[in-house]
Amino acid sequence: MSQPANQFELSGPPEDVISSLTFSPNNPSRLLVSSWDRNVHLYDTNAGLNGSKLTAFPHAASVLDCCFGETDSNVFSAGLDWQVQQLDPETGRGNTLATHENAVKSICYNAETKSLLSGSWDQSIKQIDPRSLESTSSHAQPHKIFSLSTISHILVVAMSSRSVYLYDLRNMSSPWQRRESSLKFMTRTVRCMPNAQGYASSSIEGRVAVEFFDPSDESQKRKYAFKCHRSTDGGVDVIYPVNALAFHPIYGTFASGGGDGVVSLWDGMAKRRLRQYQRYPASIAGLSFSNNGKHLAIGTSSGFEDGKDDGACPPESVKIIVRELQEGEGKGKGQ
Amino acid sequence: MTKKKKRQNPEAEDLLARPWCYYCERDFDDLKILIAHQKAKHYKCERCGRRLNTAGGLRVHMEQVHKEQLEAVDNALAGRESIDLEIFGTEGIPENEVNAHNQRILAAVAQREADRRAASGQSGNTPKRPKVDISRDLDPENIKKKLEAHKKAMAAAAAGSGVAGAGPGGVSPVSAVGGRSASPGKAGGYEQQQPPAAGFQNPAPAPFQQGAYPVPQAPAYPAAPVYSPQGQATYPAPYHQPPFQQPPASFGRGAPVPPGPGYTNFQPSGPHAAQPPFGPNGGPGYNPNPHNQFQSQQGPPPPQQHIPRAPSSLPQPHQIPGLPPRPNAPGLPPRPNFSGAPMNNPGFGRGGGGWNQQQQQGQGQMYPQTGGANSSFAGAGGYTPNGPLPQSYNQPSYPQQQQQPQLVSHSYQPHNTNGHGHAHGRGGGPITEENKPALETTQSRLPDAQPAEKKKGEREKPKRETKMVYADNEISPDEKRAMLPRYEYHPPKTVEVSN
Repeated sequence: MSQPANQFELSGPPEDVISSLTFSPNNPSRLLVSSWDRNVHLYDTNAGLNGSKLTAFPHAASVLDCCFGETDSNVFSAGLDWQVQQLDPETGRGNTLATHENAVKSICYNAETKSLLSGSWDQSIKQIDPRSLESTSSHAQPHKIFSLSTISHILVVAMSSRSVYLYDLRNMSSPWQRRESSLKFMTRTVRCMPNAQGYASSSIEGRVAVEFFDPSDESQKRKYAFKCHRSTDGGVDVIYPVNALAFHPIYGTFASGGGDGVVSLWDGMAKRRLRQYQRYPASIAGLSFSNNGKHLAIGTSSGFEDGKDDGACPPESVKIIVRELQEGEGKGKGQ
Repeated sequence: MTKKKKRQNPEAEDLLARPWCYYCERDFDDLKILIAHQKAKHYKCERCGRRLNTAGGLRVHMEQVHKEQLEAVDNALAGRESIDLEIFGTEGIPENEVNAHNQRILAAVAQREADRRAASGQSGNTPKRPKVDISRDLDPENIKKKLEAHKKAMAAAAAGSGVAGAGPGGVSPVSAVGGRSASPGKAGGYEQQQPPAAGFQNPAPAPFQQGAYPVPQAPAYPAAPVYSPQGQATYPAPYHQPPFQQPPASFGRGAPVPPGPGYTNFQPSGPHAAQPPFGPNGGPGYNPNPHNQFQSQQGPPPPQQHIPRAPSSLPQPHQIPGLPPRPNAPGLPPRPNFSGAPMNNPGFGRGGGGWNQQQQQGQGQMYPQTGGANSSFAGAGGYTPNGPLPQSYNQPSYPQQQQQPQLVSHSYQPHNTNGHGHAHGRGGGPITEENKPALETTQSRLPDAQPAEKKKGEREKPKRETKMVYADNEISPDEKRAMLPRYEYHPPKTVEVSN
């Protein structure tokens, strides 16, 4: 496949399935990638021709999620070892912040409350203050946590059984809103809009829903869902899971990545598809826009998501592609 | 080739001439529209919205302006996304694809034709007949004739049956019989018309015994012996019970009203058939109402049907006829209906719930009265086949006879008022010529209904098969992966993790 000039493959990709990747909120060239190869990888996407790996943080078990904290030197990870860790980029060592009763699927850092949120398959979320671990609080949930996302003071918790809880981080004693996903199948990912108006969620059944925080009827009427990441094969509709969502930090549009290897750019307000990038050879495992909105990192890995029944992941399918967005790319209609 | 006519039922030629889009298999009224469609849907640059004329043009545009490689045509059907084809309008479509497209159109046309035929069942092109019938029915003169005939029949019935002593009662009993007879009487008036209709019906609706019925009935008045035998003969031969049943059905179809009269008429016949044994009652007096008898015969069966006793063939057939007509297929439906006894009731209900009751009642009455007439008919008509069945019914009917007075009154009303009024209201004109209208109506109705259904079916796009790449709605892909042995992890302090 000839590589278009406006994207490149990051050198030194993980050796196994990518579980998540995220650009630093402070530095447009710092990319953090967690992988099933039991490492968290930190890249500088600006270095050299194809970027370079700055650090790898080895873990005892596969890492399921990672995120930046207040600064680029605050890096967090969580994974199959039940632990939530803070990583030190200088030394590459980890420091356990909290321990769940099962694998920790998702973590995210809330800048407003300066707290780290972790969600686990043990059906609980923890709110962690990295500076004072004594204040860590745990909140039982009705189902396994599949995805967390936070913006402003709001935390969105997507769980199994299509359950979605919204929390106000200033009062975690009880959920602010209890919702049922508007998608009929398992929620895969949830991401908050940068303007804190709502969130998008995706399911394993080729669909994305856009919903709004405001519980008023007017606002709720605006919610919608659409089909995507499907293809027809001999008259059969093949439906891929939508594994990754990422909002553009400036335009508020979002990208979706599916098991079909396709990345699409959507204007959630105009309900339009802006772009659909050419298909990548493996399932999209992670998406992230850089903080200036000029780059989109795309992680691809084969696995259950693109039809490998045994979950096999050939190393060559694991790639991190950094796509440079051109002027106005990702800009919604009428913006 | 491009003439446009019959938008509703486009001919294959017209369809084949329509410009169509290779990428999405849509067809358009005009080539210009097709080209506009292609530019908007398939040749539009995602990046800048510029509309190119061909896939190749778009590819070059993407390469030169956006430095991107166009790999597939947007919004194209599976297997048609290739950008190698240079398609503009309908030019450039591979010949084999064109042929396949034409084949699909022809197949669709053929299918539609087949559906239409199936819907209409017989080549039912007799929509006008019912109207004629209606007008006849509505014609005041006819009505008067009918009334007179009814009155006569009533009188005869009264004379024949000592059931109703009181004027109304007497009338009613007579009417019960006569009421049906009255309808027959009307039928008599109609009969003249009917005979031809019957003839027509018979040929077309061959399957429909109804046709046969009508014929016999109609003839019965003018020349009872001839027609009745024919009709009877026809009935007994193919379907003894069914034929009778079918006729009612036809009535029901033709017009709800007609069924009333039809039933009445038939019912008498039913009773008559049963009546043969009763013969003693007063065959001669009834003779004038041979038609009535036929009707009465039909009528009785329905009542029987309604009545639990009649589970047997007779009741069902009558009921069936009423039902079948409405359902759809003129020829085919009736038989299935026969089987379904419950269905029959609904059919009657359509005709008029009242009618059923009335019919039943009337039957009861009819039996006693008509018995004589029926007997005569049975002999003449060769209803014998019916006769046996009716007989069985007759027995049940007898109990009803005891109730006759009331029944009679009821039956009477239906015939006179209900028959006409209801008939008009219900069926419109069909009442007069029960047989014809029924057949015609059934035919016309059936075709309409079926086509509509077909259209609906066509409109609904066949739902595609779907296959979810990851279909486990309980365990996420990540959990599944965590279960793989190579990711197994044993936390230091506790048991196994997530295996």
